[in-house]
Amino acid sequence: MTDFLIVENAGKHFGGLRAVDDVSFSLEEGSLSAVIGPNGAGKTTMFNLIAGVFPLTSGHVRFLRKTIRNPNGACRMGIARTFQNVRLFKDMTVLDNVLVGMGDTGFLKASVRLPKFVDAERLRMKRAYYVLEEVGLEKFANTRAADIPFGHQRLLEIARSLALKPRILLLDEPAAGLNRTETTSLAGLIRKIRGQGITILLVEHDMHLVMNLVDRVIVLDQGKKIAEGTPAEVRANPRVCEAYLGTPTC
Amino acid sequence: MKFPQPISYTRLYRGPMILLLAIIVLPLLARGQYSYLLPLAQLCGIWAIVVLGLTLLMGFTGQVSLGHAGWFALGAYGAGVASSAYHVSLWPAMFIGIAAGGLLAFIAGVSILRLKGHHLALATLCIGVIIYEVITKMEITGGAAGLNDLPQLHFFGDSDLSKVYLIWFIVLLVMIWATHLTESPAGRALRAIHGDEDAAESLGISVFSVKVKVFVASGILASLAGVLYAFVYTPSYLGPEPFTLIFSVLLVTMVVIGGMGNIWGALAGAAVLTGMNEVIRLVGERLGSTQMSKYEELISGLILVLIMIFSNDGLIPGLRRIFQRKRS
Repeated sequence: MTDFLIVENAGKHFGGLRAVDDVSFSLEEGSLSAVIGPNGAGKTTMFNLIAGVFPLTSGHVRFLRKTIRNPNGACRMGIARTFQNVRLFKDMTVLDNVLVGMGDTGFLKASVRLPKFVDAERLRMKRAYYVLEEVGLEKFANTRAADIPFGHQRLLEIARSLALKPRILLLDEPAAGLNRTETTSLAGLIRKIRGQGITILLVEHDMHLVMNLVDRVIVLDQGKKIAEGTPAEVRANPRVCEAYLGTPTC
Repeated sequence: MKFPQPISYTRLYRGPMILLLAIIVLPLLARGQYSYLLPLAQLCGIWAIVVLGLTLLMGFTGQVSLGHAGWFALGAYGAGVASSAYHVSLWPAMFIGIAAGGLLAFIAGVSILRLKGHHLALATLCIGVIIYEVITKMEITGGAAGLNDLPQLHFFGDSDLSKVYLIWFIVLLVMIWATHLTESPAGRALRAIHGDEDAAESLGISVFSVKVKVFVASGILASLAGVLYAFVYTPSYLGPEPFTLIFSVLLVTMVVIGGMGNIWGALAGAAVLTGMNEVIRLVGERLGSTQMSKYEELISGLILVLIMIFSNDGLIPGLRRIFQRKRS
């Protein structure tokens, strides 16, 4: 057990619904893991608990021994995320979308606009441009985010998170709505990000992507963890097949 | 140049330079029979200051306020009461008016800025109405009778022309500040909050505190305009009549007509709503009609509706599109 990211008896109830119920697992630094499960299994809720979107009903989520309190705090601790339904700033340019998370948003400094401030801004823009290059969107830097194709928008969301220099990256169904080619290149990108030492946790429906990409799988069903292990182990688990297909063999 | 660069100084200050030129030249044209336009220019400048603040709040950050007449009144009366009831001298009184607006904006902002959309609009509307009611009912403010004999801020004499220069010089400063703000990470944060609050929050922006900051800034600007209204525009008399809910609505109209999220839009909105009636009257006179004034409200209303139909994001973005189409 490491103390990088620890989820301990986590529970989240919405009224009578136990969206996440007594789930425990931990992530090692530098690992690439996935949370899978049928619709309504509580994957995204689990995800939101780690990102600090709402408080837990029971249990703990700790990152580097610290409790995550809100999305803002999660971000400052080094947890970056993307959204299931892409949530870009549609009216801003691709470059500006990346720059939003790069800080220095004080009013006073902006009001005076000293040369030093402009230099810092220039440096930020350069860094943002490099991040765009990393995901292959640099030539869209000055395009409005709403005007680039959907697949690119997903990549932009990832770029926006990378600009935060995160320790851990949470990807909520990154392949949803992408075609085969796009999914393949996405897998390449995820491997590349991992290669930089960033820990990745993804929620995914696309079994093909998950099984070929990650080294650990956590399976949720109806809010409970029903299995955890390597992709091969999980695939051979009868409870997983039951949850997905209703039969103990797949 | 491979990398994207911050906006250059020439482009950054192009707007303010154009304004500076207009400020120097235009008032000199209003001579002789047109000198009655000078007070109108003063009023337009005062409104432009409020609308610039409101544009940051509404156009950039997406937070609607229907109560800014209240902050305008707070500035005017804060300064007015300080000088008439407590005999505070001119400059400290001005500071008191502005500080009162900023302080109330902070208190109100912290209390209501967690509300969204219509709920926020309604809450600000209520605050605006409360301020109006308090002013008309209190003794210290002179109630409905208002305050008389307020001191006057002099700026190279007290002619209408020098007042125009004073007010528009302040407008210029506010415009430069607003340009700096919007062309910075802070401005980016404002637009991000407008676009998607949850996403902004997940990127480390403290949405609530940024909202409070911009709300306070717009409150301070509205109070500053109020102070100028009390001490420069009508130094002899300050009554509560102008500060009703209708005035708040008028301010929002200026923001929307000029073009949301656009610094020039704020100035254009203020100019259109101050100048329109005058233009309609002048055109009427040229056409030989003395009856035009009867229909002023009707025609100006129609013009506003037409602007919204043909360019629903406001006058300045609309004009920019026409200009670009002609060029290409």
